Amino acid sequence: MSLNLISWMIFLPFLGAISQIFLPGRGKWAALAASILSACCGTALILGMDPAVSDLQAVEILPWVGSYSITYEVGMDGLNALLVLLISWVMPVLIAAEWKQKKGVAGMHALFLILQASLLGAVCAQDLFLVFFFWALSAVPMYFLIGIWGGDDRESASFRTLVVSAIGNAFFFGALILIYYSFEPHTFSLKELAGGKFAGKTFHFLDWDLPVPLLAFSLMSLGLALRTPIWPLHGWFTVFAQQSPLSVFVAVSSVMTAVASYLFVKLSFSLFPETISATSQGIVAVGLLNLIAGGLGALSQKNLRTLLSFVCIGEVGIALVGYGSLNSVGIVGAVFQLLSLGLGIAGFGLFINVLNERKGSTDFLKEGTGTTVTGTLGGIAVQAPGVAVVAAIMTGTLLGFPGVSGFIGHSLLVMGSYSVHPIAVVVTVGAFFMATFYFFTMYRHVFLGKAQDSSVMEDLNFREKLYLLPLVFLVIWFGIYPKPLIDLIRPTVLTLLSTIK
Amino acid sequence: MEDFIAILPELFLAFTVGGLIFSEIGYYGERYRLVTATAVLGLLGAAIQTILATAGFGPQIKSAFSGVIWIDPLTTFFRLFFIVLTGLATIHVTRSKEVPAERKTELLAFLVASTAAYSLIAASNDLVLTWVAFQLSNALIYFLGSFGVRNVSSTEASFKFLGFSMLASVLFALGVLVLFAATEQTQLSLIRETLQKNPLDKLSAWASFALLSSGLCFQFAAFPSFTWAPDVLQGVPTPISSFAATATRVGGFSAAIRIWITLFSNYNETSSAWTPWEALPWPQILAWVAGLSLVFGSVLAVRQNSARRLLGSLVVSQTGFVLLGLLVLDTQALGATLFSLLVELFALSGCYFVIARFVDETSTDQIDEWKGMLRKYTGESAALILFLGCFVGIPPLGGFFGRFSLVGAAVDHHWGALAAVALFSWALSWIAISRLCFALVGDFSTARVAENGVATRRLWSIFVSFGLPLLVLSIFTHPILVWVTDSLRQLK
Repeated sequence: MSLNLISWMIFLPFLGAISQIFLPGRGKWAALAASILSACCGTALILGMDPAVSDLQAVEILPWVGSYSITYEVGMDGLNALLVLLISWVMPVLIAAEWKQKKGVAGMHALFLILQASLLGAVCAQDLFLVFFFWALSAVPMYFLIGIWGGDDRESASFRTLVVSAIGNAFFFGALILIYYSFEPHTFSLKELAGGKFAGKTFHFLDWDLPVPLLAFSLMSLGLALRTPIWPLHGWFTVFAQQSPLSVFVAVSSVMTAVASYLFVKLSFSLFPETISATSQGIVAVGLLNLIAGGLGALSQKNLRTLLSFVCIGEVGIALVGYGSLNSVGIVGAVFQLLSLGLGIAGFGLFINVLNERKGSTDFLKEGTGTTVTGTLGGIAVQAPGVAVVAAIMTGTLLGFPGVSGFIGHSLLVMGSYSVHPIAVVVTVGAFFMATFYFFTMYRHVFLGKAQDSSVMEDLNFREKLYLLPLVFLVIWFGIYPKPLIDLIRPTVLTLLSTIK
Repeated sequence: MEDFIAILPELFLAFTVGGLIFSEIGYYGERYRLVTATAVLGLLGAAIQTILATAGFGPQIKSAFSGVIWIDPLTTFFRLFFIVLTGLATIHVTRSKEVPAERKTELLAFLVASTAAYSLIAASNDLVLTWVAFQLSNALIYFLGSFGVRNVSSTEASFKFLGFSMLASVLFALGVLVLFAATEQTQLSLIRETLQKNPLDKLSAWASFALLSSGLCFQFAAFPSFTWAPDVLQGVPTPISSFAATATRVGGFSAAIRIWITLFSNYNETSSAWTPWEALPWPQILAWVAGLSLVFGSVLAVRQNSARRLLGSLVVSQTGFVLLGLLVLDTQALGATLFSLLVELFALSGCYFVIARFVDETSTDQIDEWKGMLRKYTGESAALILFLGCFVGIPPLGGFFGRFSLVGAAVDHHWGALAAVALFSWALSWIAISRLCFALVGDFSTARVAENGVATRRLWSIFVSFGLPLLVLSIFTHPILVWVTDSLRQLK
């Protein structure tokens, strides 16, 4: 494992982004090649991992800024392996989905590649500064992707996203400074900072002495929450969902949300175990609020984009319920759910993209009515069975149907949490029923019944099949045979939990 | 004779001014090119003199003219700083279309003369000399600002600067008078010695600090005297904005470091830190000034549509960051302050250089009018984005480490609320520059795609003058921080 595969995985997309400047005309292929090569590195890394080892694997360390003990330290463990898999498989698909983009395709692909590199960097980084660097960097492409390729109100949406990201990053950075200066000797190495070393430390703020772990945990959580669809900070996200290009929306809702969720687990469990232990009830409560808010919001939606945005809010809630269980089965389920959710939302978002390209609309109900079908969508299953099948599989995984990956994540999460928070699990199951209702309503209106106009909708073409197939394959594969992944996650989760206990 | 050796850089600069005036009369044909060469040679000579003077005297403090001038590593740092700044401003002036060609010689003469004045401020151990040098530099900035003669905003801006600077000079002079009345001394070291024997009463201590600091706050555009900065930096010709934005503020900081630390604090050898006078907890006042500068600067920056005004507002928030390093009173934080100023020297000048180019091309500095500039001027636009990022401290650029150290120092010294305000301001600065960057990238569907505007020579000059130093500062952060912190070793 001395091939520096992690660095290749992170920096190949950067090189691909740079190549967009020098390869006019052939840039698309270079972008796709860079993204796929990076994905191959990621997949090779995961295949080469030893499931019995809970420590970091394939570690690469390079001193960066000596004055501040900043190192370029990256590595893989059971937790981030799933995220690497998700990013590696979803990002090339998004580049392929924007193959026919007419406006500045090279720029768009370059930004997607920067996003891929920064997210991979954020999940693999083992130095807190490096985590922040890559995480903050991932906000930059988002701003331009919405601002340039978004809907009519794109400038306002991109500015909102930017403001929220900047404030979120500032909170995260505040936590980072607090952590760095509270530890002697000052360091950013997660390995050295881990294990509850901040217990008992205080920070003087105005006339109060605030506990460092609680303050840093709150700042970090708030910083991450601001950049993810979490109720009640989700205002920017619903606007974003309406204005951003669908591929960008998919990138945020499936990949970035999962990365933020992973960073929350990784950093809070390893750096502030005592705070996590003390606030686990609160985490579950926030999770339930999101589940309910997401579910109720989704019930009243008439547009596929906004429906998916509320689904995303609800799914983040499910993951939080799992984390709050402080139970290995629950947390393994929640982490597995990140992958499953990411793949499901990516597939769902891309099928909406296909509908949008064919029909020019994503509304499935008329404004102001509860049941009437709009003139654009309806009866699609007969005309485009391929689209209907993909949508059914992705809906199934988001609902947690047996045979698809969502089932494994949901089941583990519910089983693990029940012994700790039975009431929370009852509410969660209630939210699943609510989700079943609105998903079936959506599916019925979009795919079943009569076609609402005379135009015939084309089924998936070769390119669309090519990029949707990997997602469908993974969703089914992990639904049928999740053992290798669960074996990979378990040791890392047990190590994290051992610090808390 | 040794006294004159100590001020050789200033003398060299004064001779250069004379040479420029003479060359304005004497040169024909290639006049302007020769004038520029004269200015550059003069600055180069002054830089060599600065280095030789330091090397000749060794690490000890050397005083000249009965202690009025003080040559220590900090003086060397600031002298070189101002010389490099003027060098960069000279490049601006030679390239700018905002200043008429026939007036560039006198403008260069004023610039070099200002450098001499700022260099004197950096070397001054005497409050009267500091005051005189401030007057000289402010008057020269006023004249420099008026160079856009046919431009009403330029005249208004320079007049505004003159008005504010007069008020500040009166306040500063009153502060000097209070101290003179109590100690009968004007030299910092002598005032300090006298005050150690006979401390000032509380009222006089506060009065002297408040009056001197009010004068200084004008210089470095801190709250509440920051209002001149956005107006003046927008109104005057861009090359002058570039020079004034950095020179006036860093001149102020160089004096403030000496006055606040030498005069109003006591050094503790064991902790390598200073403590303020017991009767005068001035860092608390400074914390308010820093906090309000941070908030006002960044909030104003978010609202601006003019690129120059945006930078003028960001400069105010940058002042807030730099003040963080001064108020925590330890060597590391002061080192970070100097490092931040060093980054600012190249980043801010670089920003103005590219902005000047865009103003020349579009005749406006409105951000909305620059949509899609990246396609037309790819190199310049990319450089501007990089310089802005460096200035507001986007990781991992050099500016980030400066700000990180300053905020970290505030956290380390229990200025938690101030650190929180700094973080808020930092986030707003990112938002402010993102608007400009977004405009440069532009909307692809409406971008004005025109002929390739890349000028190779210009790009090279941007890279060598601004990009390369910033790259060095970003890569070699550690040794440079150590070097600048080392220059504070004699400041006790």
